[in-house]
Amino acid sequence: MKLTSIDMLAQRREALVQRAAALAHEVRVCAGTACVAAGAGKLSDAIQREAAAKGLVLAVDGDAPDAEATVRLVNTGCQGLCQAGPLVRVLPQDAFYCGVRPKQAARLVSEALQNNAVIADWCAVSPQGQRYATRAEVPFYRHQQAIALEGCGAVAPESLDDYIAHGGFAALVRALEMPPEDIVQTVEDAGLRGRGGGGFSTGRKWRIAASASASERYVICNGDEGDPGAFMDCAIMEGDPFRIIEGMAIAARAIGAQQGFIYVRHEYPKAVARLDKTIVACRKAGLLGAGILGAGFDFDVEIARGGGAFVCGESTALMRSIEGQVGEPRANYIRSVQEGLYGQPTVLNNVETFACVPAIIERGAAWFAATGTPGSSGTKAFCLVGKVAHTGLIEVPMGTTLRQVIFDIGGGVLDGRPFKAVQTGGPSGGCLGEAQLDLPVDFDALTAAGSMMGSGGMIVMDDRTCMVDVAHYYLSFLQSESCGRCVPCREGVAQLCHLLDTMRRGTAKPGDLDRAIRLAQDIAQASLCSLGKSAPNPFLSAVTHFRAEFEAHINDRTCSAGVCRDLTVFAIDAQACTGCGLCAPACPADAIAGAPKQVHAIDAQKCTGCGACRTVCRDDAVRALPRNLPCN
Amino acid sequence: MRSPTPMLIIDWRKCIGCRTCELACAMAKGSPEKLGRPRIAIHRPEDASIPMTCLQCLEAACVKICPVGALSRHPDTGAVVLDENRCIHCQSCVAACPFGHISWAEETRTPLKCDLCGGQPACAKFCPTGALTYK
Amino acid sequence: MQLVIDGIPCTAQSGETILQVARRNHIDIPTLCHHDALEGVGACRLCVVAVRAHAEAVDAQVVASCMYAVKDGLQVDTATPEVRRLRQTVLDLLAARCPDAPEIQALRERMGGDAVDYAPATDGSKCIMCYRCVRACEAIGCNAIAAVNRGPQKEVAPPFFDATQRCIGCGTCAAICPTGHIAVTETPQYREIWSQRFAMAQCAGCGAPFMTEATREHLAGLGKLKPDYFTHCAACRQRDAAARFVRVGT
Repeated sequence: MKLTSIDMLAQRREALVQRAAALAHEVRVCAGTACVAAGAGKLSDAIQREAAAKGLVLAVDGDAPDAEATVRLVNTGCQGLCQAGPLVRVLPQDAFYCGVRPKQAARLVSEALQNNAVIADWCAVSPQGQRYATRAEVPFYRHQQAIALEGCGAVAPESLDDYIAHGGFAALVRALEMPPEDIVQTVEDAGLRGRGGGGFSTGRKWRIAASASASERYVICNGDEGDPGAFMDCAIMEGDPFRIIEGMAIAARAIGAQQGFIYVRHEYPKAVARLDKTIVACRKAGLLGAGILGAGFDFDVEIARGGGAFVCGESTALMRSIEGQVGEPRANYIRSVQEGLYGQPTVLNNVETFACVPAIIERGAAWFAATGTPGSSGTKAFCLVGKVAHTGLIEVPMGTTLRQVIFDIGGGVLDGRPFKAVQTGGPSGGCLGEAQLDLPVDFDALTAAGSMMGSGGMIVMDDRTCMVDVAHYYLSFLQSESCGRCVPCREGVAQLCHLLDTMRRGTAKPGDLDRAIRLAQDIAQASLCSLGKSAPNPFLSAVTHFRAEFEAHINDRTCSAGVCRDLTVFAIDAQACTGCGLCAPACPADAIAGAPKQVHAIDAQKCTGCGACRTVCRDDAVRALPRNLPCN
Repeated sequence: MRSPTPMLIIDWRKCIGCRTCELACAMAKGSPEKLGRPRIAIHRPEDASIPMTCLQCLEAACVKICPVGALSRHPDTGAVVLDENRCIHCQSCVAACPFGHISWAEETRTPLKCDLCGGQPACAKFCPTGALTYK
Repeated sequence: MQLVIDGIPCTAQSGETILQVARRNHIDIPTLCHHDALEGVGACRLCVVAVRAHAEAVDAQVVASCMYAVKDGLQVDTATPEVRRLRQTVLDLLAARCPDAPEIQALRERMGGDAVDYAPATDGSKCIMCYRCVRACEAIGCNAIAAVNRGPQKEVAPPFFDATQRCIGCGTCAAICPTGHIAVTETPQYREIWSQRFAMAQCAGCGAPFMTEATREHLAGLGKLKPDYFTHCAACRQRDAAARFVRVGT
């Protein structure tokens, strides 16, 4: 149904809100990637089957409910605690269940839905064994604040009705009733900075584009999320796609653009499909296209799909890619806000940045600026991954410390192992150590310490992580993702990666560390684009905080973490070994021998240093030892 | 119609085929130690001898065909001059001149043509009979 | 507008690059991928300089002088120790990429800085990825070659590394290459380049090969001429013209 006026939208919202109020009982099954992989799709089907069998009439997702429906089932986007899926949330009591399997659907329907009981066994549990009766109490969620992720995990992603019922497009209406300059001012006053990692003032970017003289202007949403370990934008694109469209429409209104593009990385086909449905639904409803809501505002959005290149997340390369050219960046001496896509003023913002915009317009700049730190207002979404107890998707106020994120929200290091480092900002970012754990997470504090907040990937590392190996990993990633145009990045990153490789293998020469640092600094200065300019960051930050580890690899040929195979052999601590026998079959080199319930032993000659035995050992009985190569 | 710039006038009937012009050009484009390649050549059709060099056409085929605008007319000397920094070594100009006045130096992979020595053509200066004059 | 390069005040027009202004004022900045007639790519980074927005500014930015448009009041330093070190690194990296390219080795030695030896490539390639061949081929209207693949695997090639109809075998790419990387084989009958064998057109006067048949077609199309306009080599054209002048004269 086409909404031809603002009043019509208001009426529709009113009707939908009333409809939703009549069905306050809601079961939200998380259909984010991790939960689907753990069986959430089958769980949802099973719930619907069981409900039908038990005579419980469900309304599903955004569908209009039957008269007899008493419960709504919503297959939501990512609900955040990916470690513990499939996740199910039951409202209004806010019960929160982890690890719900399809075969438990019958119990869910009869106890939780028909009898309104809370199933204690399924609730999240503290390390002391205490069950959390509501989601609000769960520490993982208690310390979070959702703005960009507000709808993700709540709305039915493909339902325009559900989005409207949750208040969707009210911000756009407000923007249509404001002078465009006021929209820009609001975003500027809110202090919104680019959530893709660059941190440029969003309001200022819009202002420059709005005032540039040109015949066309463009709005582009950067959905090329390429940092390893980052899936915030994936979750928003799959879980709350209408919010992105609304944010883009508000930006278009602010700068005078009529055409927008969402550039989605090739590896997110579900996001592409969902956004496509979203755009079609918006067009049908008169929320995209000519004469939106009868307010004399034309704006349409097209999806551009990437080809599998990390470098196309760089804004100038992204624009070339949309234009149909090879995705190579150009030097940013001329800013894209003045001459961007097709040479016209272009506002390019990250998915998460657009996701913040509707809330800012609706609730005001002061509200947004009241959260966070003076230089970094609002919240930030993170993907907390790696050696952390609770991996998943979170959103916290800027200024939350690393320690709070990793320990209060994340539950500390996995298996209680010692914390070693946290990597943020992806391949452009850096590693920080224990001494930096009390730094606030925002645009500036981490940068001052030699790292950067980045787009939101946060990788926790324990004592079994080798920082030389980590630096090598990032350089090897960048080597294959470099566009190859300029010498410092194409040749330099490859040579730097090679130097790190020699350190891992114990073939590095004295002076190689200083040579590598010098090369890294030169790559940062001389590269053409920000991929090359930031490529040395993981290495340089690792050297800053873990220099001794690099020196040990080069001079002593030892890897204290026991990761670098050429430098490591493993041995079994006879005191700790219980003879469980798990290690022997895990060894690919047949190097472990021992009778059942007897202490096992590793033949150092055969040991390849792979560490499989250490990974499977439940008694922490495997030790990493130097391979005793001759010292430098 | 009088040319707005000076021209190299070739009065071939005065040419005695002494080839001094070729030598002067080679020296002007090179050095006493290493002669350059001359851009003027004496031809001997039947019993005549005639110095052949670029006529600095007003509507030059070489200027038109050059894909990067490396050839252009000098406002003072009237010569069609090659900007060596712009040349992309495609040899289109060599092919285009209907009179074959542009030759190709294989060693440097550059086109060779007369540029009137920047306004003081060496061939005219040294021609003993006045077959070549610049006015 | 006015700017300062190495302490020397220079005037410039809007739209000029730092390199253009510097060269006009006899300030030498080394380049590799730059060519006056081809659109800049900023690939080699040899021409990097340090710029500050105005005389009081403290923070300097390293930019490619061949790509950076001048601004009023700009302060440019072309030869600080930091800039020289960056150029040295560029040449050190290129020398490792092309150990068999004497031109690069010579440039590196002339740089004369604190050189570092990086792990040398062993594929014998002399290509420095300066994009001159690609841009020149685009300039003549053929677009037969481009830079393909990404990162260290990047190389110049025709589509799918195969013979392409777009190539006319003119050899411009080979001629403009600073290291002689592009392989061309020639006989009186044919020229072989980019996996293709091109028939040579023979001069109607002396029989010498003077261009490929494909180049002849291409130039004729460009100049809106018939291919039979191009029948003779330059020397024979000049000889025939001489004969015509004399005949007309008598």
